[in-house]
Amino acid sequence: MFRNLLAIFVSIFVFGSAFAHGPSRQKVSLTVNINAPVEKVWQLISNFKEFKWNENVKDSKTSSNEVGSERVISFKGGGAIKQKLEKLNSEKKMVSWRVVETDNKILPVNSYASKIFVKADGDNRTSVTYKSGFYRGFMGNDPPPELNDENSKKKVEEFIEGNLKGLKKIAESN
Amino acid sequence: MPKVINLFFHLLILFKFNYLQSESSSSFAFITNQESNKLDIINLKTRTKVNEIEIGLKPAGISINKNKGIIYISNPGSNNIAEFTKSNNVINKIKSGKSPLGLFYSEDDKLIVSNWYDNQITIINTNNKKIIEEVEVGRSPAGVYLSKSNNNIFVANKEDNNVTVLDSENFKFIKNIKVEKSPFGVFSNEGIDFLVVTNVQSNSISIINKQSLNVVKTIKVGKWPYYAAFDNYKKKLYVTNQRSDSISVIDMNTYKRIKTLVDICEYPEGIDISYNENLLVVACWFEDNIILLDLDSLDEIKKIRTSGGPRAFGNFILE
Repeated sequence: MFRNLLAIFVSIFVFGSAFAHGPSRQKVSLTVNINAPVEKVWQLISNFKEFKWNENVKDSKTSSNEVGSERVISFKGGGAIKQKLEKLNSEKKMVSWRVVETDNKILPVNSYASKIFVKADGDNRTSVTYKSGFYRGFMGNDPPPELNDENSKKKVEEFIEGNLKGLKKIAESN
Repeated sequence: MPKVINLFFHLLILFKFNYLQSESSSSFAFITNQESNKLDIINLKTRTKVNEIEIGLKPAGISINKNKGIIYISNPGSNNIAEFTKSNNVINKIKSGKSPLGLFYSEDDKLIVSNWYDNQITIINTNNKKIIEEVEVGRSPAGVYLSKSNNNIFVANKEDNNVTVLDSENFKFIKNIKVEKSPFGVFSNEGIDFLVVTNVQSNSISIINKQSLNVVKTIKVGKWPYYAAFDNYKKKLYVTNQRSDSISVIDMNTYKRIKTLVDICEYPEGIDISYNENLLVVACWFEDNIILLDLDSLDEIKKIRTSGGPRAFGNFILE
């Protein structure tokens, strides 16, 4: 029974709405300092094929590290999101991911795109800044509480915090 | 006697010249900040922010009555228009429809407002602040423009992928012009015969002839074009591309994209020109600043911090 429910949740993708430009876009920007060399951190971030950072993530599937590739990230609590690799700049150590399909229970957003900037902060320290721009989960007027500006932003913050926490943990371990 | 008259005229000319000079020596940018709910005022001569004012909720659109120094701001969060008079800092609120977004002030004292959730536009008499007319247009109307010489109102309907044209005298429907996907920004001025529409989701702009009401050219730009500015002297069009962090430069004599200014800033949005200061001014939504570029070299001169989430959707420079 549980497995069936899970399958249903996974199958409910909320497709990126045709609205790209509601009146109020939001942003989240978080930075974490990691005690590891910049090359090691960049290697983890630039590897689109592997995404094991967030402890809530069950699995991430993709075939390629090329710009334009898509990956499906499924979550332990059910649900999945699909991300696309938009930009990968090794020189500047910047990667950009876009959410192509989402599940509003996990990430109630529209037109979500993020950028991650990696900078050396000394020999053995790296600063990672993770920025996202997005619209709330419900693009019409009078959104239900779980899809309003406030909750959408909270969910994005939680997702990014989870990603950065996991990244730090992996990068600082051997 | 003629000598006296002559002297009088000389003085008059001198006075007028001085007056114009003092007027022209001040250039200000008015920046709507959707996160801080403030209007930031930037002095472009001293290149500093001189004031920030609580203006309403989620301010976005802007249009200016340049003769009187009155700035109109759309507040989609509080469903009204703020009328800000620069000389005395007085703010009046004017009622509009649901989620007003695009604004255009026309010199015959009409203010055109697009109401995103109502799928209509409101035409307001700016003298008595009364609504003259409400007209149904397409879905999610955004950018608006009134062409005085053509007697037309143009409205970009984002969800219908077209531009509605209305008669600006009787507000009757004339035509829907098909453009590409998700038209948002609408730019023109009285000195040019074309209108620019940014098609957000097809990463292009449509050039519409204001007389024939046809698309004369579609030009590819960067990702998510937002708005445009036109240099009347060099005949160059500048288009901000939100998701490419770039500005496309287009030669409007040939309709060719001649240059792309890359890594301008994160999410460049509102863009306008100060001829007095020879500047191209760009609002950078993600970075919370505006950048000033030299209008000749297009090199960055300065970044100025804003109060939060600058959008500046419309023409925002008064000089």
